[in-house]
Amino acid sequence: MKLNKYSIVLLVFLSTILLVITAYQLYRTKESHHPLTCRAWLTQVKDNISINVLLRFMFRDGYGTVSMNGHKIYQNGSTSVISRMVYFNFRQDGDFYLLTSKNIVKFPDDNVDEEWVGNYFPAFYLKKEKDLYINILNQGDNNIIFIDPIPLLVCKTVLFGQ
Amino acid sequence: MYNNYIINESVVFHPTTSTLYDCKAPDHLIELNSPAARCLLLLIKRSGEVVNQQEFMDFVWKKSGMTVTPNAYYHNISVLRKGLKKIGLGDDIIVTIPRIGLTLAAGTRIRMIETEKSSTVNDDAHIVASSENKSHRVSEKKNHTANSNILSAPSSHSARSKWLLCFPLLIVFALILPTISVYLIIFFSQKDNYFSDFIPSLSTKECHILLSPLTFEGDGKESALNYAKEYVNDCQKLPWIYVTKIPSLPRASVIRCDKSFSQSSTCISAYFIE
Repeated sequence: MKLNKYSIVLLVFLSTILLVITAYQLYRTKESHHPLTCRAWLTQVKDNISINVLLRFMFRDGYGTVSMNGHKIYQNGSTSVISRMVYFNFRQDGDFYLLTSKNIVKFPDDNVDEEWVGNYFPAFYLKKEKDLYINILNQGDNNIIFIDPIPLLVCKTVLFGQ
Repeated sequence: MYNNYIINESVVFHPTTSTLYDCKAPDHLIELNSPAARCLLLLIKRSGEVVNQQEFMDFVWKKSGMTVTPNAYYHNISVLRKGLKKIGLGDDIIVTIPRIGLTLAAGTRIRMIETEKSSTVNDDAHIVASSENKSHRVSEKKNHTANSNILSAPSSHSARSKWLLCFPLLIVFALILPTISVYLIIFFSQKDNYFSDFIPSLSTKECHILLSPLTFEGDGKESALNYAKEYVNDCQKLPWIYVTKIPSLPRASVIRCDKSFSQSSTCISAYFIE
């Protein structure tokens, strides 16, 4: 095959574009580990009472936050609000994460009964220095699954500011 | 097979390509136009003799069926002189004999080499011409050492041309190979998604209910389907339902997505504590 000058320039140009796209893909693949921010809608159900929360996790190098916003629906239709932020440190061993709560900040509208919440959520969300072991699987395509020991929630990675 | 000529052991003349190479600086080459090159060829062939204008006209143009004015002749001799000067032979290598014609300067050494294809050397013949003694001596002998040195100019030029052609291709490969490697790494490092081994258990027009393989132990399947059925009415929005219910564990998980998990953009999780 005889290549003229223009074919070679075109080949170099296309190859460069391909390399840039690949580098971006690789960057995204790396980026999807740490730091990461993800968002999940979770309904916890116990004794026919459900609590719906929007969880937003943020993991950095060894520390992170999870904001929890939602409401509890009683059988009579009344609701209580849960609105808090948990600051935590974490250690990672492959897909296994050990999260330790460092501070719980309850927002003014958080009026849910703590004891009752304790029946639904681990103490990690309620008190300082409580551990949460969780298996976090990155599924590519921006999906992360939290396993405990069955799928607890699917967390969708989001860009900062979303 | 064709002949090349070495002039004064310093310049190689390729009549077929109308080029002059400097033996000491292979990168240095002069391209003559075809008539000028043929004028030089005639002077070389008739080395030691004076070539008149009509002979030039016959050899260079008339043989090819062309008729030109004397101006063309003078112009091409001028081009030839400039070319010879640029390649370092000086413009006085061609001597004008007034009202007779042109000849190569006295003491000009011409050596002929027979070349096969681009750079293969078979034999060489030496033509040593001297205008002083007007003798024309041709000797044929093997002299591969001399040839290889002298032909290094066009060989080197050819190698350089190949290198110039290969260099961009090397860049292309240098770009493509890492790209392919990265894609292979990404491809092989990608795991199947968590729900890929979930088993389709119930499909309606709108719902796709898939159960974890762990669910099929004991009466887990029936129990798992009961959890899924709670959401059947919402299948228009979230038709893909992935259920995990392990009989020995008082927990159940229902993940509902707008599309199959690998393509989903929205999923809502429900976690049941029994």
